[in-house]
Amino acid sequence: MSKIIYQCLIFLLCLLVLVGCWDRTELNEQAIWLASGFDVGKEDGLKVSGQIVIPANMQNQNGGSKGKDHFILSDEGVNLGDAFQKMEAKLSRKGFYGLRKVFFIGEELARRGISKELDNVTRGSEVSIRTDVFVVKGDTAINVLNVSNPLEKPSAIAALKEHQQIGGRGSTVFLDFLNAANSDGLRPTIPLIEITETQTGENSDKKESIVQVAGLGIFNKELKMVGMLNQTENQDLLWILGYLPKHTLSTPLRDGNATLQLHHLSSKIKPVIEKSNHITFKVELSGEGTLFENNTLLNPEKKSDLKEFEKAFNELAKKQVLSTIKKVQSESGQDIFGFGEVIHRKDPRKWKDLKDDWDQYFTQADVKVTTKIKINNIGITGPSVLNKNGGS
Amino acid sequence: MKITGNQIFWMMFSFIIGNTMLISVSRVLNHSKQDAWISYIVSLLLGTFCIFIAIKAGQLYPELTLVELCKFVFGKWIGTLIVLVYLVQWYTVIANIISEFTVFAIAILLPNTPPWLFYFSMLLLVIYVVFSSGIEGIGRSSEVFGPIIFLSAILLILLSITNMEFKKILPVFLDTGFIPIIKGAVPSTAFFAEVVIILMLIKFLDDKKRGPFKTIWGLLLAGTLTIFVVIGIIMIIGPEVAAKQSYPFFDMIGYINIMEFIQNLEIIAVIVWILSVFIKLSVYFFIASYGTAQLFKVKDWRKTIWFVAVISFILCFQFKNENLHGFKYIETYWLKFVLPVNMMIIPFLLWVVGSIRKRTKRVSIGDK
Repeated sequence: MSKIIYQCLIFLLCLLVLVGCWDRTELNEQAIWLASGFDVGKEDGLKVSGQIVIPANMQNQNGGSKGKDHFILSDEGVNLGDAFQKMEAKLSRKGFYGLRKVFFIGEELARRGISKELDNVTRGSEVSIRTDVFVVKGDTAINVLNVSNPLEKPSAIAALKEHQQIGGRGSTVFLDFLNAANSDGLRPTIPLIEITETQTGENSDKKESIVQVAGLGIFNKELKMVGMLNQTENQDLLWILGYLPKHTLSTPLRDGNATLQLHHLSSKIKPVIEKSNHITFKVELSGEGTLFENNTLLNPEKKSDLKEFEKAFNELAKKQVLSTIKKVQSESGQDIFGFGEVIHRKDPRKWKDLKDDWDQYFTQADVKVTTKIKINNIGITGPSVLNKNGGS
Repeated sequence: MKITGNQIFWMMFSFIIGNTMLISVSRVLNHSKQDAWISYIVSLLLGTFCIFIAIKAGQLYPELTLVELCKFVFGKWIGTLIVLVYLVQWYTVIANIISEFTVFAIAILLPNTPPWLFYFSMLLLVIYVVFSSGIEGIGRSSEVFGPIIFLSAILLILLSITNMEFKKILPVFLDTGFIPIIKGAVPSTAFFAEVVIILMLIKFLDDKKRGPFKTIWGLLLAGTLTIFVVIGIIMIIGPEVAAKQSYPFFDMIGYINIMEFIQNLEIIAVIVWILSVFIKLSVYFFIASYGTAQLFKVKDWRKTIWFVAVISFILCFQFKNENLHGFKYIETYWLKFVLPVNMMIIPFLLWVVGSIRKRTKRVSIGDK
């Protein structure tokens, strides 16, 4: 009896080392998908492109470049699934989408509307909804995928890193978009990206294309892109939403100018609703800053001068933010600031009357902005060292 | 076969936590949106109440299992009928849990594996633990797995804190109101009150007086963790989007990203769930075999294991993707029949009728 048990045990031990996962795909049999791009296709269809890694060219980091480390595939179909299916025929390996952390949407497609196009992005189990999204300003997604960045090579990674670098929302963009699409008091936005060129001196006629984060696309309730903001306005929006980690302000002051770097930014929004349903929003923004540049004769070590700096920056920020809000109200009329959600959270009963005509209430609302910017660090020089008379 | 108070605590904790965290959340979010956490608090109180009554009923005759108790309290025929009601629940729920586990595993982990392989291997594992040492083996494995599940769940919640946005949980109560919150509490109560199966286990406890109440502590711990998870899901994913996802807990973990270094922790959630499902299945499997044996007076209850195994294996195929084109087991049978009848009315009747019987009997004994 015990002999049988031993035989069984040995048999089981063999199982431990001899079996493998029968349906695994080796790394060198997968096509690693870095980014997807979605464009308008023929006959109301979609054009899907993908940026795929060429592993052999990616390995040598020090040995100079051997060639391109990625290539682009593209095909058209009635929807995403159809186009992906057709693309499989062009791929020698099985596509692996787990590393896809960003996708691009061409401007034409964004203006056509994306409410019926993106279901596939969330349905598959391989791809998580933690992803970054961009709308390509004035161009198609496939062109962005074709651009190589000299530092990062694949443009997908360059776009992601730039977005982090300037303090964007990064991987929660798509989730925020979905949440806004499901909400009444907040309209969805997606960051914009555009293709520009590096400057390589006058003699060189070979300019290289690079991608650049270029502001924000505004979507309406039907998820059609209806407006755009530039990068400064985008930062104002993120400040109001409370997502901005850092911010830089430059202002003319006296006979020179000065620059401030802000951090610890926060915002408070207070709605005041009158009986006639006329709404006034009081937006209070605050932040702490480090003086980054001082080209004036003022001495920030003096209290009165420091106050003057603060006053100038406060006025600038107030003017900028207010003009951004006014622009959105008058041009696209979409509540991307989430003012409606603020009322929803503060006064849910009132919100039930307002939410159906919110676009109208939002465009007619008054906005008052106050800013509380404090300078709590002036760097390691007092008055500007370049000025002989500075500080007097 | 004896189990200690500690073992029953961890057993009930693991029994509840996996399915409530992973499967119940979007069902509740569908009704009560950002107030889902209130629904969970309500249902945790309701669940605790149900289990309290069940324990009271069980403690009237702590040497009897539910099967014997029903026969003893309600007489032979009605008792048998009631036991059959329970057996139907246990047999079907085994198949339901296995098939839900399989749907998840195929969707997330192993897309090309045929479902029967999951049914077969999971059943094999469960049969092994039940056959080799019965409830004692399950108790010991829960003592090992329970703390692992607990620590992993705590870790996942702690790492998610930085992603939470408080404002997503507002406005509290006013937006949904009383009725949606109660409606949302129904599915979660069904998941919490499952613990009334303690009626089958009191017989095996070494301390029959205080031991059963450890079940309540297990329930409270699992319930509290679930409430934190739900709050996390609401504050990270947002109630509207999470309600449309099949496994919102899984999406919440996807957002964990500490210094670009600690990320992709989804696999921990999978481990938590598989361990918990294993405990849950083994407990149901044990009480199904033991109960069948007692009902049909089979002397060696281990013989009925094979019967239960074959039945549940066949049922698994019936339940395959039943959410898509079946009769929605949880929504129809479980919420409309099992929750009121098996988890509330019968334990309550057992308690009331049982204590009346006990009193009259004592009186009659005193008369002699």
